[in-house]
Amino acid sequence: MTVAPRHPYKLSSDWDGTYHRKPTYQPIYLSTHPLIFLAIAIADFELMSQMNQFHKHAVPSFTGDKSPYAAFSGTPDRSLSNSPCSSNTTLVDDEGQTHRLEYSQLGQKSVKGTVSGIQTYRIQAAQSIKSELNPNATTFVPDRFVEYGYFPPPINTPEAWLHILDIGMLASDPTLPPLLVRLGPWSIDTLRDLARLFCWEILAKANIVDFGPEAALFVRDVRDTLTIHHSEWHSSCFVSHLQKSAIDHFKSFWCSFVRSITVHSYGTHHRTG
Amino acid sequence: MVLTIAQDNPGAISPRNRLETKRWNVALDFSCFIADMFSFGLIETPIMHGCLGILLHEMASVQHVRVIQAMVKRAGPTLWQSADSHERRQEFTMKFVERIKSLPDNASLTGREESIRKVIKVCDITG
Repeated sequence: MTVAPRHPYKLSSDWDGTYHRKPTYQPIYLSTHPLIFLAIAIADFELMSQMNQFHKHAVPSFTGDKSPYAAFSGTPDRSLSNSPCSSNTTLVDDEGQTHRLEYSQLGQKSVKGTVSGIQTYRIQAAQSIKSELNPNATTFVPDRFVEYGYFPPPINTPEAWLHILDIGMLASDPTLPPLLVRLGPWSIDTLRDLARLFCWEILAKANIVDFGPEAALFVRDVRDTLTIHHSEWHSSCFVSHLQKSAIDHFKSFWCSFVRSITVHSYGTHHRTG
Repeated sequence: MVLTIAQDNPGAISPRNRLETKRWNVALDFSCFIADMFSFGLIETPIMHGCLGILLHEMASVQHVRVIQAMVKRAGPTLWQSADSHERRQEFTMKFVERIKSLPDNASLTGREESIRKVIKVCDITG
């Protein structure tokens, strides 16, 4: 496996793009001789050049999908004790050689060891999650929403529908109805599901948000867009399901008795309403 | 063979059930949503009148008065512009006043007089 090298002087800069020099490098500046300043300046310039070259090649591998460092998910190891720069306080004249040495050590030991450990952890975590996941589990709903009477949307509701309805039913936006209608294909079943989802938005969120006439205005715009981009049948089917769903819910709130019709023919059919 | 059976709806807002604020808010918002859909032409006039008829028939608390008021206001003047609007309006007016008078004492309408007056005004009941 190819492992992206990690520069010893960039321990805390992999994630925020900033450069932090190690403290062991700073005492050199305590010298006051002008030639030393010049030498330090040249060495510093060369060092920076080398680091720039290194970063030019290293950065893409840090951000690439195939990078094992992607497993960090933004939580780098910032402990200085793991760095050879911290444990090795010897300052040699040829800093470039020192960097190459440290880089080599990191690449062969620390980095590989860290990546190996992460991979082991990830495999164990994945196996643990896989064995504990319940595919039939109900949707997680935070308690804060349950207190307000919120309940999850119908199963298999597309996330894109939810996002568009969340926005469109609260504020008029002419771009949203075409966006929603483009999410077809629309069948009698999907049009029914969409109509029911409009009702669900009100039922589940009435205690959380204030719905005004914009909600119904959005429904009308969706109906008109269905007519324009598809057919009269699509819009009629959508409105028919919407009316049925709305009346059913209205009766559930206000009718103290519901009518139940039982039809016995060759088979048995039950309907309530 | 066809059987029609009336079953009790335990979830309905009625004097028998203790009214929860959350459920009342949802019922009010959803009823207003229906009225809004009517005003935008998504709900037909007979359906809207049917909803108001249910509320009048089931009227047992001040919440019914409030939701009727809200629905009539949100539905707008189109509610009374059908061919038989005059008859519909007279029928609604008579039933509305009758049902209000029949409300039990514990469903106090104190402080709601203005609300009721607005309903009557919107419906042009006194005219």
